[in-house]
Amino acid sequence: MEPRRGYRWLARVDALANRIHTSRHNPLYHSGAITVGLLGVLLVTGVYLLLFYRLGAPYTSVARLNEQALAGRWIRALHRFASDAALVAAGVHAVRMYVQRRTWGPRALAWVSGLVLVGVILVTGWTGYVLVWDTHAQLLAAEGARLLDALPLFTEPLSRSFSGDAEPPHAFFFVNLFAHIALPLSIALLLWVHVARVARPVLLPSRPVLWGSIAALTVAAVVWPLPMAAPADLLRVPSDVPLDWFFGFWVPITQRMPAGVVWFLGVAIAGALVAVPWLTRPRTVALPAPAVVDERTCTGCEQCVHDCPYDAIEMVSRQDDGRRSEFVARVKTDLCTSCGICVGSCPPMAISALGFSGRDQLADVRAFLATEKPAEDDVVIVGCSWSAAAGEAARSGARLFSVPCVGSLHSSTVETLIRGGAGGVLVVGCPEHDGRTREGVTWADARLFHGRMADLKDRVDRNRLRLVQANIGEGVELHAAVTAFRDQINALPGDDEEDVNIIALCQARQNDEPAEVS
Amino acid sequence: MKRVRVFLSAALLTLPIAGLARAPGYSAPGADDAALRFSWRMTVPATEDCRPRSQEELESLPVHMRSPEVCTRDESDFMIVLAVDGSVADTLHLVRGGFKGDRPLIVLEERNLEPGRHSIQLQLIRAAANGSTILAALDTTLLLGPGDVGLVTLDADAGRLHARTPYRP
Repeated sequence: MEPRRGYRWLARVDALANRIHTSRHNPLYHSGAITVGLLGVLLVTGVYLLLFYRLGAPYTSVARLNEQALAGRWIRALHRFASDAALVAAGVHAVRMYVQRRTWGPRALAWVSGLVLVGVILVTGWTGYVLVWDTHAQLLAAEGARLLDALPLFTEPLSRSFSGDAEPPHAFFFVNLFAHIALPLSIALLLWVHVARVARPVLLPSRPVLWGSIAALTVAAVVWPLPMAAPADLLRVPSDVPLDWFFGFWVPITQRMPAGVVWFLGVAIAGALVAVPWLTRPRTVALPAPAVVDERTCTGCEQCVHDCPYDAIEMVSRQDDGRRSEFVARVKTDLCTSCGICVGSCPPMAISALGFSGRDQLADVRAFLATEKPAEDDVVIVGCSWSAAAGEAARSGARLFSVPCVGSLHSSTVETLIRGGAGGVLVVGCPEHDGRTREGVTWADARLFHGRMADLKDRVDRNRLRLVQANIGEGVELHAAVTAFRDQINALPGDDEEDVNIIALCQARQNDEPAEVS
Repeated sequence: MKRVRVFLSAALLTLPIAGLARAPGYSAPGADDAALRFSWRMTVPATEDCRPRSQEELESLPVHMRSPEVCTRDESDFMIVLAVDGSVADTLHLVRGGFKGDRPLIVLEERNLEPGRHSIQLQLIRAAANGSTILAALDTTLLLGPGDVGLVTLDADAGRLHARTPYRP
């Protein structure tokens, strides 16, 4: 599947951030996990603020806390900044998922639950701002009440509570405080749903990213603390309000619209966002089929079960004679995203995804070698259309062997390329923390260099192989890597081995027999 | 050099968040105007005019509809007539709550005014078929600055309208 147009822009921004923070600690790659980390910050600072909050004197108690420079003002500011940053990070995460086409199929649950999570965060924020009962709170409370009054829910309009006849009752602040504490508890449940279909969810960012984010927000909170807005006065229209544009962005828009129009637009926008997985789903003809296991070939090694990033493969009892193994892998088609990672994990090449198996890949590479005939000083680039591989191949004239994802690259394919005459094989994958297939480049690295099944055999010269992480915006970095790799290959001593009979090698592999190379 | 770049990048990401978290200067619509707000809740006693059905009437009805009395509900209209600086500015028709219109009458209305001193005359009127009754009236002068809201409420027990303006120290 080809990247969206917006992916090129995203990749450029990512590339810039990679140059500054390195791919491993790029905060943009960790946007979803940063949101979770900041929710933890909100929990800790929120519990502290709760100790000082008084239902009977909401504004005064917060103002008193804000006067404490050492242990009050900056913690309140950090609570606010962390909530804003969490919302921004969640937005970045959502945009990334959309642009990377990671919204439809089995991922629809994560998309929809993510939207609900953002909604809960917004409502939780609303209840928190109202608790302070300053002009900002008055603005949010009055506008919220106006919108709710448009629904046939209440026997008397909520807006009368803010007409100025009397101060809002304690019950109002109690309900808000209760909601402000109870709603975050539901966030934990929603998070569980959000990552339910991922085998190894990453809930927290790398330590440098997490602590760096907290440190940056803390410094901002200390250096640039929040002032107290004026206390709410229901007999004055709020003016010069220090509005929080992250949580209150909607107020300037909705205040100028009739409540019915606001609800109509709100429902329409929310409906469109919820419908994204179905609106962006490829048409049936282009829909990649789920992976399929050839049970006659499956040896029951379970490696595909371990490698699948979506827990979409299970082991079931064999229905045939059971000579090869007691259990056999079977794909849960409703969970399979057709990422192809299982293809690279299967030593006997029993799984096919996206219409090809390891055997098909071998046939392709055999044809590739026959037509391209790479020389001993040639670098063959192996990569997907989401990486910088194609761009670099066009730029440097290197030969390109395309795969849907480097996670689907079978180690035998690499071996065939190197033993078939290529001077070197440069595998180009997406950055580790941004893999469209989550773990493609991780498993590729483990299989090619660290003995994970289906591992690259020791007989293959690792000096002729390199794995590089470069997204589509990191052409410069990849070009430098290719140049350095080519120099490394040229410096290698000549291969003493005789010419490889690649046809015999491939046939031997297909038959699971030791290859006799002559 | 790398540390400087990381620091600058962190600052670049954090500053907009800290800045937009309290961007000053937002004023709600009407912040430059004054406003007059009416807000109260009034229980309207239900009045019904009932008479017993005659024998002929009862016999003409199906068995399950033969209630002994026939009642006519009071269908009075309620309205507020507002005069600002001597001229009638508005007439607000009030609608009682509930499907049958027998729930309390809840008033929550707002009218914009130019900031300044205004004489306000207000009448709460009950208009029935047999004539209109002034339930409560207010005649006062209010000084309202930009963004100020003059609040008119009803003391239902005493049958009086009251006006309040923001506290000015």
